[in-house]
Amino acid sequence: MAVDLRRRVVSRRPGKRTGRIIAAAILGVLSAMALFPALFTGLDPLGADVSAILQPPSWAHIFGTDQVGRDVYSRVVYGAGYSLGTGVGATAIALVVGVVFGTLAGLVPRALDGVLMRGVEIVMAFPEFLVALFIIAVLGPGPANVIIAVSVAAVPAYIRVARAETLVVRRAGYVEAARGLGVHPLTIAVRHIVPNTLGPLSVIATIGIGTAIVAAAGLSFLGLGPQDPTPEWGLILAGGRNLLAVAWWVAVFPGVFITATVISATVLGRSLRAHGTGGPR
Amino acid sequence: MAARLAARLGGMLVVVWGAATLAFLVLRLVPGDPVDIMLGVQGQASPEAKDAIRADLGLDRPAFEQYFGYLGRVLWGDLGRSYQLRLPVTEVIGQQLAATLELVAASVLFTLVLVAIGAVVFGGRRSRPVVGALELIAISSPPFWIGLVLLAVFGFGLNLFPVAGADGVTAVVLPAATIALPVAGLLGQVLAAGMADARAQPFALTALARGVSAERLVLRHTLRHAALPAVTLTGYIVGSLLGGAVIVESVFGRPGIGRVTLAAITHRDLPVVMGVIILTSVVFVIVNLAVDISYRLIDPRLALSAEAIRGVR
Repeated sequence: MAVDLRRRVVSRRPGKRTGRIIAAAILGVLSAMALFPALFTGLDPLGADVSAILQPPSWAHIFGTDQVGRDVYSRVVYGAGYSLGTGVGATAIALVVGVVFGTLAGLVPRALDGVLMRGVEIVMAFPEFLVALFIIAVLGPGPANVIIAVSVAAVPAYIRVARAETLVVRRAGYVEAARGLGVHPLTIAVRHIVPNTLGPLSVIATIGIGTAIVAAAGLSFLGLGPQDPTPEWGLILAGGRNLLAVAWWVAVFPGVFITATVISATVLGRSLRAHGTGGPR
Repeated sequence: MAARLAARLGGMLVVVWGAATLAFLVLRLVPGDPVDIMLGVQGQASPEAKDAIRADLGLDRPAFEQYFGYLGRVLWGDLGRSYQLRLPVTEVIGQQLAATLELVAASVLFTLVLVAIGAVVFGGRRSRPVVGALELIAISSPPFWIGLVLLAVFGFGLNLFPVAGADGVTAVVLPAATIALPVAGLLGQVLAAGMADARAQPFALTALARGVSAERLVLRHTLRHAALPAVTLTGYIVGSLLGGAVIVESVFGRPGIGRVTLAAITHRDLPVVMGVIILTSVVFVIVNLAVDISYRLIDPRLALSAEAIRGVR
């Protein structure tokens, strides 16, 4: 639901271009980290070094080291792959499922649509994070289940938007024309309706990646996702909680990365919307 | 009005019923034998003893019979017994309610104070971009990280507040601030957008032409207009308080519904999970009813022709 809410505030201020460029640059660097972590650090994220335990930030370890002497910076760099992967993966699943069900809801008879949308409303009565927690309660903890839980929690918002867009697009002249020409309804849906609903959906998906990363990190923070040596941002923060009295750096830097990712995704998503959305078509 | 309210109430009962049904389905779908979960890993019981427990819980009866029995019990406020704690779920939740309510009340208070500071002290156009940036950061930061930073600075660094537990008034400050910051950021953004929107409305121009002062314009006219979308968010905010409680209570080691929920999820204590689902849906319904009623108090146009205006919106 947070997806929807951040969308509400449309910025009409000029000079947004710099913000968008910075956001895109940050996301670019983070994606590079996720794909090629070895380019950004020479240190092993799992390499314990008993001679350098709980070192504060220094030139050798710019983000310091944790309780077993692992370099926090390299853990954060390698964590980008887990966190971005989970966020992008969960959002992609939610988007696909949302488009399929949303388009169907917009095309099927009204009674069926009503039943589906009531179901969506019931799920939307719960905050996204609680839905994700409930899914984990059913599936059990684990990294794969975190992706599923986060995507299920996000799906209702996508279904809603996809349905609303479908209801508009299905009345368009070209859809009418295709129907008149006797094109198969399924072909109409796939070739004519879905592509034209993707603009607004791509906006909420961009912002949704940030929301998904926070939700996934929250689940791992609670110990419901990947387990210890894994350099996942939420998990590093959970470890940092116990070190807070002696080593603030373990709990601070991964959070800065999460926040920067979410802000960048939000700024980029908002500017996509402000520019009329829709990409190249 | 009365008919509308009745229809609305009916729709809301559907939400609670749906949540209860969903919770029941969830319990049925869970892999593994509930009796095994109940007994735990160390639990040794003969198959006969397990059958006895199963019969005791009604798990041996047909699914639809279990379903209606369950709905009936929920209707009478019986949410079943916790597998882990061997207590009625209502008692498990009830014991923790006060701690979470304290947290929620303090969070709401902090939120209002933060929003008021943002609107009044930094309400000018010049400081708006700065406040806007702070709001964006507050919304985008993961709540558990906000909690950790507050703990590091005010708990461990400055030693102003206790770092764990729920004893005394000071113990609630940091957890409540953790929940309040993102919520205030969101409210501040929506309120600012609403105020800008209201200033562009004809009624604002009319009021200015009548010679109304700038302060009066804000207090009497535009704030009221901007409050509508903010009130719409109340439902979301109450929801995020509940979700936030899970995280914040575990960051700060506080007792409460969130801790109970997390423990129930990790131990797969499903009756408790179902109880929390139903509680959440009831809270949602009540909050939305309150939101609906307060719309009419804030915007008298809605009372005139609710449907017509809703259609335009």
